[in-house]
Amino acid sequence: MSAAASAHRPGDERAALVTGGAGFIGSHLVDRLLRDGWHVRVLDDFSSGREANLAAAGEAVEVVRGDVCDAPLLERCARGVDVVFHQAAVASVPRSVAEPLRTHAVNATATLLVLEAARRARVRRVVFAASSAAYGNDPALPKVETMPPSPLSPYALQKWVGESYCGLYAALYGVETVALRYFNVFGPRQDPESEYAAVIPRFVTACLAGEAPIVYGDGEQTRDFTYVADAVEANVLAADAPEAAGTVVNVAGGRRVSLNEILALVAELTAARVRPRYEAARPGDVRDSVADLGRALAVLGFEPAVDLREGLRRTIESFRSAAAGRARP
Amino acid sequence: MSAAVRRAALVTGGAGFVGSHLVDRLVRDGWRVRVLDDFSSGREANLEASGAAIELVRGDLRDAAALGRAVAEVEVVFHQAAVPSVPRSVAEPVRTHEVNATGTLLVLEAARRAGVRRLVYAASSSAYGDTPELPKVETMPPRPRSPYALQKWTGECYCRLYSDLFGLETVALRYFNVFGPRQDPKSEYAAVVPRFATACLRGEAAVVYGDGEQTRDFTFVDDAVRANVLAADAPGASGAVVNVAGGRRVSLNELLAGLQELTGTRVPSRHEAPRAGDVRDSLADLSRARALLGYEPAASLREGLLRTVESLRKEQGR
Repeated sequence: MSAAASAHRPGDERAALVTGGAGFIGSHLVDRLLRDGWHVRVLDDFSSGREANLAAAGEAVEVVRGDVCDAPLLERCARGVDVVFHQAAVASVPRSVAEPLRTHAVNATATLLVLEAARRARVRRVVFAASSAAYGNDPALPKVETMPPSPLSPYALQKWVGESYCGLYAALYGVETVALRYFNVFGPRQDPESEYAAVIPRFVTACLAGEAPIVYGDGEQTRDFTYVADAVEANVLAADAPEAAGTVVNVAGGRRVSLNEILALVAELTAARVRPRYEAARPGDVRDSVADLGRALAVLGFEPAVDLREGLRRTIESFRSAAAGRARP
Repeated sequence: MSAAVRRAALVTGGAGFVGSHLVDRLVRDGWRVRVLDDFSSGREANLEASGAAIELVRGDLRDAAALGRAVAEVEVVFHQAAVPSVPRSVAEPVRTHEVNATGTLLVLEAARRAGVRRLVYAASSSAYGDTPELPKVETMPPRPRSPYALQKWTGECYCRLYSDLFGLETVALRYFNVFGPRQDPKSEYAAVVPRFATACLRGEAAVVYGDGEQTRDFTFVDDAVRANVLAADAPGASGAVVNVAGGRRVSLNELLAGLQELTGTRVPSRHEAPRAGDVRDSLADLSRARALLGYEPAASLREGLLRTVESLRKEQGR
């Protein structure tokens, strides 16, 4: 880290730290930043991030293996950096119910530690991966950033605490922060296997394997699905948008889809003939969700570019080739 | 009640200001009382009255072994331990997060594992932030303006989640500016009542941050203690957040004038810049406290201030 520890000079390539950069969204962001000419450092403990996610980035990325809860390490990683993209998290509602302490440390406390490290290292801006879970079960739709938070799970609370610290670090300490409230991001590299896997990779994997996908609840609950390239675009915009410091901004696909509709679409695109298995709804899950994107457009100039069908097609493609890769001798 | 069926309570931060008054009250009411305190701000002297009657566990909330010992076979946990200071949270956001937010989660988790029936949590009116609407009602959206406010609100949300998701009964009491004997007047982050009272007793200038026209709802410590005792048993209170206050709004300038009258002194006030994270006005709506807990503030401001001044006099005389 000796070279990276030196201060960034005007004219140099810009330097970014991506925490959780070997994870699902983080690694797509890394690829994009490298393409855009940034110097990119990744901090990841590979607890859920994977080496394979950084295959495309290869030698171009500086990888620091370590825990995002390690304050001295964070401070070293933040040195010489322009923008921190804080993506590291345990991104799961049910896992936060099962492990409230561990997820508090990673989702809430580590965000504070990242902000503190950024403040000490005089990082210009921190872009935080916040969550639409903060909105909870308030029936009002679409979700606007000015609505009061109503966290229904430890995960939702922890993410809300992280974005609140972002707001405080902007107001009290002058660190420019932008909190992006992700709405159900999906795409290639999203883990389908974990016990706490998100719904699209679970559906895709089941359909590709010809197995019954599991639906928690009646499947009529709705979500606003965001293709990962759109979430990445929002991050890149948030790194530089003037007037964005201290704000919270929705990032979403901007359309409301039920899980049953998603399942039908995935089944169609994979030409699968499967029947879902309905199980009990999970505690802490919200019923309906769709984002208002007015602020995202006004503050970031963000508009989703990839429609749901195209996003699903690319996701299925990548899961297919990953499966084929594994099947090869 | 025979010794065998005495109810058991844990008071975290039981050597602190509010905690030690609560300990005294619980001991008087016949509870078996255990105190968990690391004496970072709590003081041995605060436990003089109850000393022999209580069981003391010296340790930090973050020490899993000490916490595990502390919650064992306890019916009610009163979680009072905190670093209760807005300016200190601005100066030390990470350290105060560990105690105020993470510490509360650790206590909830330990209580859940130990089969504790109910946890009563010392939440804070700072959660309301600086929205102009008065009085503050529990249904208002939170607007934390300081790390302290955020951390205390986080603890409150975890209380609600532990009630909803894990069946641990929790009640969060949003304290409004509690004051009274044993409140530390010396710390760099001392609260306004002990600072003003000490200045009056010494005939020194009272430092006022801002113009002094900001208002607070001051709660005498005996009232805060009574709210805790009521919250331990109130039916239908689990998962609730409840304001605890004196129910009247007083400006800092009025407070200083009252203290000057009670101490028979006239001291100049020295105005300094408002502090980051402080709110402008505050006043509690007590409807929910009445309905849910049967709580009513009993001490008048004058009476509370008088008892505070008396105890500070005694301390100074030592």
